[in-house]
Amino acid sequence: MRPWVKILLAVVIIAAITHVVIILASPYLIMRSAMGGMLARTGGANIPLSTPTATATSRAVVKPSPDLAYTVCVYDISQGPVLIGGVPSSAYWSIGLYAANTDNFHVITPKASVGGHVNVVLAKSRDRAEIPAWKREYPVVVPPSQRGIVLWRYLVLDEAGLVDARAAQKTAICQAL
Amino acid sequence: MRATSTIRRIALGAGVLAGGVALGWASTLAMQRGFGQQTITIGPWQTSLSTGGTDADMYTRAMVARTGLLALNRSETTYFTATHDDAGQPLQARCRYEVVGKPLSARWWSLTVYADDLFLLPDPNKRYSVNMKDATPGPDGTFRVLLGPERQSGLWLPTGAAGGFNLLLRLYNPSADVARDPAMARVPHITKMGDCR
Repeated sequence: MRPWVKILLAVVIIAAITHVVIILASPYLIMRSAMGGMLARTGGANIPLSTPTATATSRAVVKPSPDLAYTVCVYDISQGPVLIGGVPSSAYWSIGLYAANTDNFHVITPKASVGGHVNVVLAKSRDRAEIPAWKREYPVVVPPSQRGIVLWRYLVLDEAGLVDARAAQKTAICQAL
Repeated sequence: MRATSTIRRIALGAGVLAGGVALGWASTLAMQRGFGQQTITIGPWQTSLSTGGTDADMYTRAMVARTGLLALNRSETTYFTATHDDAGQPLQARCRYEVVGKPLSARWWSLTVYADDLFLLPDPNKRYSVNMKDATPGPDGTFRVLLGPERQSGLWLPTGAAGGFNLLLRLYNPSADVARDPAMARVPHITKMGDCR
């Protein structure tokens, strides 16, 4: 094989390895960075943090929606199940659950509410034995990763909507059981 | 003589390594800009079929992580982005545009302007987006949003002073046909108006 062919082949092989490593690792690294920022603000996992509507100074996550108020929480089920919930606000409301690889593996909508309150248990398995008896009637979701992000979205149309969203934010639950 | 040969071999190895890493890095940026992904294009608008979903491929995940972290899956929210106008020209902050379309098939929709860095543009009046409540259709059934660096009468969103910008159209709880096939969405036109500043 000619020397220049060997050099070209080596460049292509290194490029291919670099390409795959960056593509595969970047979702995990960016999510880890986002979770790190949230943990620094909440002081730990399984603690919700409510934020006002986004402005030009908001830098936590790219493309924030200025029409939404957010509550965030880093869930961690490594030590046991985590209860996620809240009272839906009257405008658009959802809870997005995100795995460590960025996948939005589950969305909780007001349709899941019972008696006006939504409750979902995140656990390593559907085995309800490790869930406290008084929470066993709640739906169980098994995340693809032990750590990830929970994001509550509350649509804010006007000042009245902001009051409504803030009241709903106070009901957000992200709590180790 | 032998030392010179060793130095040449080390330099060559370093050059091959640097060239390979640079090429690999550049190829990831190209892939994350849309090449090779499952995307649907309607005029100037693009949407990924698997953004946020658990069926996302590695390129979509990398793209989402970089440009749309914490996006909802398609059945909950469909996202359309635009970086160009209908004529295929990049959106420029110093130019004026009109966005005209029919109300979108969703429980709720909004149109937001982002700077090149993918964050909101500074504006003292916090005009970052318009939504279906603001964008009421006229007698012809279409809404009209104006974009540009200076205030305009009508429904206007500022685009900043320099550089480019991009648009994000969010359809919360899209209609079943749009959730199934985003190509069914009647996305608005983006037309440049007059000369740039």
